[in-house]
Amino acid sequence: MGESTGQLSSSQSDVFFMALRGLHTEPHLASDAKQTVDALKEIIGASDARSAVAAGLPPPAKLLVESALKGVKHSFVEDLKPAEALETISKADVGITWVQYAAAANGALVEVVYDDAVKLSSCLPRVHVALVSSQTLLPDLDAAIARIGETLKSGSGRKPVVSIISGPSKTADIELRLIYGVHGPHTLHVLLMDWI
Amino acid sequence: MTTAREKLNEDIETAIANRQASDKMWRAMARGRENRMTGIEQFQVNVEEMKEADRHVKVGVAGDPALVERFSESVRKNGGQVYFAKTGDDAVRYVAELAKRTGTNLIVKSKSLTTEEIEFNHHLEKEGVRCVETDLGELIVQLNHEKPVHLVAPAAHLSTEDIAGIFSRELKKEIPADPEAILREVRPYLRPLFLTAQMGVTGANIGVAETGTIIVETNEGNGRLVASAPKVHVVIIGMEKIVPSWDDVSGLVQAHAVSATGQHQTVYVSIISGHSPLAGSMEGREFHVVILDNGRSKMREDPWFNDALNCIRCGACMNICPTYGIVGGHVFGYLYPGPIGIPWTAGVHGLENATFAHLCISCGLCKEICPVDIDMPLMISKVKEQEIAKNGQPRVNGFFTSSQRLAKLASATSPVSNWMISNSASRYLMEKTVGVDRRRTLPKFDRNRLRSRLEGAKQGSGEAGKLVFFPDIYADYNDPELGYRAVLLLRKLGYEVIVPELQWAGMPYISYGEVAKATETAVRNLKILEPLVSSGYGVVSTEPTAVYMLREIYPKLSPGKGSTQVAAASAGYFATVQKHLPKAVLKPAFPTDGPVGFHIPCHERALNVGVPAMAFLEGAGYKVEKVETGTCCGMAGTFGMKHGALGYDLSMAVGERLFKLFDESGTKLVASESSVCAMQIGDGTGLRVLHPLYFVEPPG
Ligand code: SF4
Ligand code: SF4
Repeated sequence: MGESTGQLSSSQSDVFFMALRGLHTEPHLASDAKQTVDALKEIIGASDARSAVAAGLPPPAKLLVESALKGVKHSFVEDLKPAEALETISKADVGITWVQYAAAANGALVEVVYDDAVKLSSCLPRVHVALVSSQTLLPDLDAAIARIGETLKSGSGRKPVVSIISGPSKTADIELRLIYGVHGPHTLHVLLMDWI
Repeated sequence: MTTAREKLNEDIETAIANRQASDKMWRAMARGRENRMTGIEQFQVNVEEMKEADRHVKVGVAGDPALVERFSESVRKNGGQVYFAKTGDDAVRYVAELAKRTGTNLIVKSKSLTTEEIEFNHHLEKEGVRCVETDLGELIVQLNHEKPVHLVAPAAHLSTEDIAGIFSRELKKEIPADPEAILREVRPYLRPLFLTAQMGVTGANIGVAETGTIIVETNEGNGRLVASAPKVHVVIIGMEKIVPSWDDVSGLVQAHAVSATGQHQTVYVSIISGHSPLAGSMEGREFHVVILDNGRSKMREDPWFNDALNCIRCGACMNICPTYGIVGGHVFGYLYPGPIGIPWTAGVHGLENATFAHLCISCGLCKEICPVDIDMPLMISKVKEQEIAKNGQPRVNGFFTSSQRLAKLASATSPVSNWMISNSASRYLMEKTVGVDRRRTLPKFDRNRLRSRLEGAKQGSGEAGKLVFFPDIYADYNDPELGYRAVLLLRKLGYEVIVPELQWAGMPYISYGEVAKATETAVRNLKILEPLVSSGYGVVSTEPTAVYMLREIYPKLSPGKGSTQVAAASAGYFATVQKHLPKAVLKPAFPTDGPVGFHIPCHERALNVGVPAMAFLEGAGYKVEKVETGTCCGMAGTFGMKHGALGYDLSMAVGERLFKLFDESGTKLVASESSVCAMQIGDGTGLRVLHPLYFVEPPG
């Protein structure tokens, strides 16, 4: 079971991007703060978004997202009151969330959350933008699931809810043919940052 | 009152007559198989390794009460509440009381076959709680007041038009028959329900005892919503879904996705160890796990059925089942559909609801495709045996389980018997009295059996080894010439070949639920074969079904070292010949300019997928074209000879799909190793179908 070395080999990001494309997911690469903001702006612009929610972001990423969302109605779910959370998240066109790690070979994102409002931010909006640091890329699903196990087995207190996300929401329930965008996002963007 | 069997017959007739419906089902299942194959190729899955790994995780563990206890403790430690429900009613009652206490009047559900099993919705609605399915397929069948037709694709029997019609009716507006347009309506229809439901109910694909975690896999994302938006999350998990440790998870997650839909992993794998706060608040947020027994403990104790508990509900067995592909899961099923639905129905809903077991024609393909290698055909045979013990063996099945005795008689009385077989008046009588369909061409019988024909024939040198040739019925009583050529070729290749007097292989006993007689036959054959194998003999047969019995079934009927050794020493005829192909001189008996159509018999699929026989034909200079639907030809031994819906009619409905492919292939000559497949394809296409051995000049 491989460990992330912290160094992004170009081949690993290539593998990751190829897997993402195979899963109907749009990958983006950002190599500094400016590129990150630009990429976010572009995604939000192309998504025709009037409102956005962001959730679970570490402080530096939060600042960048804030600046990318200038001019778009948005909220950070950590600031929402319990009574308004569901409604606000559900109305947002775009949800921007932080993904703790990812399985490169399988294009799988691992979201670890301690609050369902964060999880719902990647579930309810029609566009989901997942931010991933290249430092956290793991080789494959086996490695990612092993890492999840470590988290669940360690520590006391409330355990997180973990979601492995591989592509946008889809169904084959109509004549066993694939169509995208049922309840969850129609579109999934992955923004890989190799500078954080 | 119509009996369950009569009802089954009527349902089959109706299903066959509705060509449009069966075409839909058949196409959907073919797509399901293709998706799986594409995934296996794309992700380079080693299927045999996967099966082994899955069995390693599940066998012996599924339904273990000690494990259930450990899992319960872990869930409680995480802060969840656990209820062990002995019966479906207990489970429903628990949730109904919980609903009352929490003021729930709306439940959203993600797909859960386990809740279908206990008719959850029906019971809760009686208590005044509205239950809404949120998986698209489940929602469609719910709105159409039907049961799921398939474990993975609940609405596989419906077309886009049907589905558009269902939503148009529900939403009281015209929705075009376009999948995207349908989705555009479904999302806003369900969204407010997700947000206002007080309770979400999910099933679970896996429960992990070590961490007290449940895992829910969905592609649509509805599972995530159901588990997090409502205040109360209830998981209903069958006790067999619990595995001991976290290490067991990754393999199962992948095996499930690959087998079900050809994905490497399902889009959303939710890993839940309790309920989380919503925007910082835990107010009213509860997490309940209902562990369901409902007959599972009993199944676990029954050596015939405990393997069924290892099912990971991928649906692959229904995708490949030939008769399911025609009649669909409403006929081929009770609440659990398809091949695995038979032992499950018998186990949790009672034998009286499992009459559809008779739809199984023992092709063995479900076992072959199952990622946990569950021997459904054998379990189904046992279910049939129990059903027969109650309701009696249908006369025609009894006729065919006496095939060996009849063959002896017919061979001794040929040519009179042959005249009877081809005379229309006597065939009419046979149909009326014993139920053999008069439209079916039956094999002729030969007076001169294989052993007498071989008298005086030259023995082989023994340099290549020693073999027992097992002719089964066909190459002994019907076509001893085939057996003769087979033995001579082997001898020419340097084998010493003997043909001891054996019983037939006995497959019809399995097909018609006479497990005790199958066992008796196995024991008698093994008594002769075991000492021979111990002294260095291998066993071959020109009939793939006979080899299949020796390799796959006998060791289960008569477990022990002897049957295992015989199984290991048994091989298909061409798998044996293949080793010598480079030096064998094979002179083609027919012109080699056109392609030869090739059909792989189901039981050969489990052995060598027809590869050695194709190599043999190619070695003789033929161009071989495999023609296949991906499932059975429909004949299934003697099944296609029986008169009626549960026989000739269904057999031909399955066969038609293959006949069409043969017509389109333009082949004039067809090769198949199985004597019965040859009859079916011959009857269905009018083409000449021969055993591959007849494609070469007889060994001189
Ligand atoms: S053995 Fe064949 S016919 Fe019987 S259930 Fe399995 S796939 Fe269906
Ligand atoms: S029996 Fe095997 S093939 Fe059928 S659903 Fe279960 S795991 Fe899948």
